[in-house]
Amino acid sequence: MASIQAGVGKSNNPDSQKAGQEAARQAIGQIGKSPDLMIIYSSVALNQEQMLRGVCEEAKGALIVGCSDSGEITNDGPTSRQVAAMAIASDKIKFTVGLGKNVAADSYRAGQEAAQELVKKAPAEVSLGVSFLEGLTGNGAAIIRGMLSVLGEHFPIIGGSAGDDFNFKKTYVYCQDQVLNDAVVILGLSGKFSWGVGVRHGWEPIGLPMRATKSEGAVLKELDNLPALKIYEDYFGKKAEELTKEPIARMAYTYPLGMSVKGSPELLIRDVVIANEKGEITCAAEIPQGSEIRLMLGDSEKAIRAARQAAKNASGQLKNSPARAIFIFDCMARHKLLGEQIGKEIEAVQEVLGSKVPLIGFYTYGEQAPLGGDINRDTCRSEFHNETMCLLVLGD
Amino acid sequence: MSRDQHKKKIVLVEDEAILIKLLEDKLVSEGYQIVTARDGAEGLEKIKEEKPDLVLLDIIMPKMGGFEVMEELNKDEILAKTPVIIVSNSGQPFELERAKKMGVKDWLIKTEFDPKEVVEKVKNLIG
Amino acid sequence: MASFIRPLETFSSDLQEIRRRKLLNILLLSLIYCALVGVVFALVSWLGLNLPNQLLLFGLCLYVLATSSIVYIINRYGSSRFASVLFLIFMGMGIILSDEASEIATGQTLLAFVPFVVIGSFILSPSVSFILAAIVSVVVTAITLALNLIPNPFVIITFFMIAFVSWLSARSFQEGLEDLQILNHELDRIAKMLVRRDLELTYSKEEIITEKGKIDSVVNSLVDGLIMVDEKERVMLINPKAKVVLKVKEEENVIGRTLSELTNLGYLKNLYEILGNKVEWTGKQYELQIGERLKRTFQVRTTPVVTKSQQIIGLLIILYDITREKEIERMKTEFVSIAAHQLRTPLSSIKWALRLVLDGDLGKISPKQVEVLESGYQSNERMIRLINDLLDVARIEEGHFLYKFSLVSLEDIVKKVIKSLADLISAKKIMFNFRKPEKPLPLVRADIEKIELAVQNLLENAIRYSKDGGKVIVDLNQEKENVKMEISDNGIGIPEQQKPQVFTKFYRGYNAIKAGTEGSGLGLFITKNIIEEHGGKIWFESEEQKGTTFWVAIPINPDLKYQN
Repeated sequence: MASIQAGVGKSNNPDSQKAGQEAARQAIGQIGKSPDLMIIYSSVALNQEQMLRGVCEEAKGALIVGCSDSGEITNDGPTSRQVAAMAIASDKIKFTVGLGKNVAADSYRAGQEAAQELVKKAPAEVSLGVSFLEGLTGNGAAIIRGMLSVLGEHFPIIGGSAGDDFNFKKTYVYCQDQVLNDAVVILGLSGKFSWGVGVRHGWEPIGLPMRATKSEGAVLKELDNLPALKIYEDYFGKKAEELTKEPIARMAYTYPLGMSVKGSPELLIRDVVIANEKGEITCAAEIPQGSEIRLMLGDSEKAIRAARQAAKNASGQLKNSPARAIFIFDCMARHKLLGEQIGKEIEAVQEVLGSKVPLIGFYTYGEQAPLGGDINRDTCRSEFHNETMCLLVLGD
Repeated sequence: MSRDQHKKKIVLVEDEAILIKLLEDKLVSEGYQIVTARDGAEGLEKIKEEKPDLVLLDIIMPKMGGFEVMEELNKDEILAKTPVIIVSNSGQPFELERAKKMGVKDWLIKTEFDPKEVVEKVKNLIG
Repeated sequence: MASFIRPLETFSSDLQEIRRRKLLNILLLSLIYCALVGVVFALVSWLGLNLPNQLLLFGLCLYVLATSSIVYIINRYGSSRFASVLFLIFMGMGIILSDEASEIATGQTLLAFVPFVVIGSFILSPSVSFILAAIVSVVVTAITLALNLIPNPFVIITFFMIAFVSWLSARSFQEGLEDLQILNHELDRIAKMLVRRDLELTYSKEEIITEKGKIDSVVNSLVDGLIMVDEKERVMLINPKAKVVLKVKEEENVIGRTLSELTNLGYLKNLYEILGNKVEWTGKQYELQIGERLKRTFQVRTTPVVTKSQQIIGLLIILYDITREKEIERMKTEFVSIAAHQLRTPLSSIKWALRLVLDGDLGKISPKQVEVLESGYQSNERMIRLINDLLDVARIEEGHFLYKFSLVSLEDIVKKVIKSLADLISAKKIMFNFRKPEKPLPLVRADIEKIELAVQNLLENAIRYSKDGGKVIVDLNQEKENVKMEISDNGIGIPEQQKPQVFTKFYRGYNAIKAGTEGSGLGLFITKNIIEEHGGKIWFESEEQKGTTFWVAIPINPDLKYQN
């Protein structure tokens, strides 16, 4: 008897509450008992409160976590404008949740708060954290550093930042029966079980490397002593005005910046979000001054291959245990890059880990995962990623 | 009554009172013996009773329509030989086809003929 | 190992710069490590055995440590060129200070100056080796002269030879690097081009996807069923409506399969059958009836999908639900049929009653009474005709206007109609002229009653819409494979702007209405239907106030004999 039972459900019912109910009922139906944990991802097209009320009605007594998204992923592949739910019951794993608020005001503090609550409530040592972050406000990397300041430098965190169907207006995280904006949730897993992660993007650096000669948090000011925006002017052959007119993200999400970090075979990706007339670029998370920066180029074939490698990495870490549940945190930019081929990425993951293994995931505005998929407790470094396929597999 | 014996007998089945009256008068004045009926069922009864030389039959009538009367007549070997002229306001091509197959001698559309012409048709058929 | 190499890491996009910094760093670090060892060694020997020169060693090591650190810091955070020059100065001074003047003068220190010259050419520029050689020569000569010794020319020659060799190797090394630099920039340029191309591609891809998305949503939300097939009858597209209509399951993937392969799915078989088991562009319309209890009727049409460059890329099968239209049509004609029948009943009573009175069956009546009753009788007749026309129209639309074809003589028909119109002709004092055919006309295969009705309508129109004393000419002739009839009048004509509606139902020329001529506006509609059912054609020319000419052409059945 497997120590973890998981079931997946989804619904596209236009009635938000019914959609929540249907997805939850379907997921719970598959495990055939009352769940300990419900993970919910939902489109913002649905009324969030009503949707979550629907879930609560079906999953009484379970811990409920999740967030809004820019597309859901289940065993049937990617979908959009739906609710996806995973129900989990386990006698070996204990689930605890921590909540942090006011991300915009102080991201680091919000991360700390959530981690402190988690540590306080956890019945035993927490071996793994799953994060659901506010997707638009604050500094994602700072939230993670805040969490790690409490949980330990080498504590493994994996998770995603909430989405809102590419509207870039407002994102939500779910904690029990609450729908929260500007907040973070961390789910702690304690107990004896095997698990593995995979973290890959497949983006390739192109052109000459540059030095971040001036940066402040997520704002990259100068590259090689020139305004940072020049990199995009040069490579895109566009004038600065064109790049500042609307969020540069719209043009550049498939051309992010990569920075070399130790401990990762790939460059760590930073999405560029917005540029100003001064030529400064605001990124999705911080870029330390002095980092070596490359422009990155996406390629659908390599992106799919990266997903497969991530799955292999995770599978390798399971140590011969069969996979019981798969969690995918996949960047919405990959959705854009792959377009109609988006399903292939998920298929690649399923080919490695098994297509019958309950799978849930969503398209994020940022991912959190140990660098290079390294979960060794002495070297693991949980980081904020962009444009990356991050996955977590639970085994016995 | 002996005079009536050699008079040709016609059963007139028609639901419009005024038409019965007009046609009956005309035919009687032409020397025919007329038995009238106001609907198909009564008509059929009368035909069976009187065994007429000719039947003038309407199509759309209460209780029993003209076609049903024809069907009943055709079931009886002797009655089936009674000549029938349809005098109706209906007259769609498929009805004409159907009537022809049932052995109807002629089909007169009321608006296209007047009593005199009806009498002519009758004379032509039974003298 | 990592922490050992880390201080050596440098960063720049200029390869010369990287090389200089790295080289300098390696030199400096090795010097610093050596000096540290030297300091330790000096300290140890100080405490233990007394070695000669230990003070010198200690001092030199401290000197190296201090100067190297300064240069290292400058190299890491400042200009590498400046750091290099400084390094050379410190190095030169170190060599000079560490040796006795006599040793320098005699050329014993020659060896110590070799790395000085060589390093200079590598870290600054190749030709620097000559300058350094010259400086060293001047310094050595100066010291020699100061000591009152004779300068050794071999020493100077050796310096310049070393400088030359060093220059050669450093130069070739630098050239190689420069080539690499050019290559790097070339690659960067290509990278930029690539990114721009990729950006354009991404844009157009997105555009295509949005366009496709738009088309998809249009096709998907279309109320008509759509199926597109390629030239091999493979399904290229099917919209949800078509799937619903044909009872094909939503999840069923039919794309890429031929219609003949799919006949086991839903009603696709019925569809394929009515199309004649092939998909062709016939321009025809088909009717597809599907459903068990509640039958639905679809009009099926095929139309080619043509690109801008006139290439046919497929055929579209359109399923248009006409169930409602059919039902309405049926109800309408049924209504007309029943209404007409119900209207006829009282009219026949009136007709018969009046006839009997007029015929004197009910007793004698005065001529005055006859006149009044006769006009009543005629009005009744007009009413009957109108209702008959309505019935005909209903039948035409219902498809019940059956045709019984036989061989008929058009000439006979025209004669018969003229005869029936004799009263009207004489009443309106029309000059009627029937030009008989020059040679006997062939018989035509036609429905005698219907053709008679058509001819009657045309002749009656010509007469009715002529003024009293007008002229009507009927001409009957054979023309090629047709019998052609021409009916012309010099009547009121058809108004120019109303010409397109002449053959439509209930059309009546406004001048005809004004003139008070009676008519239902149905005659020409019925006539056109009759002529066309005979494979014929009807057309006209007309001018208001001048007159109208109608032509009718009916094809002769080619197998038939000529009339006697």
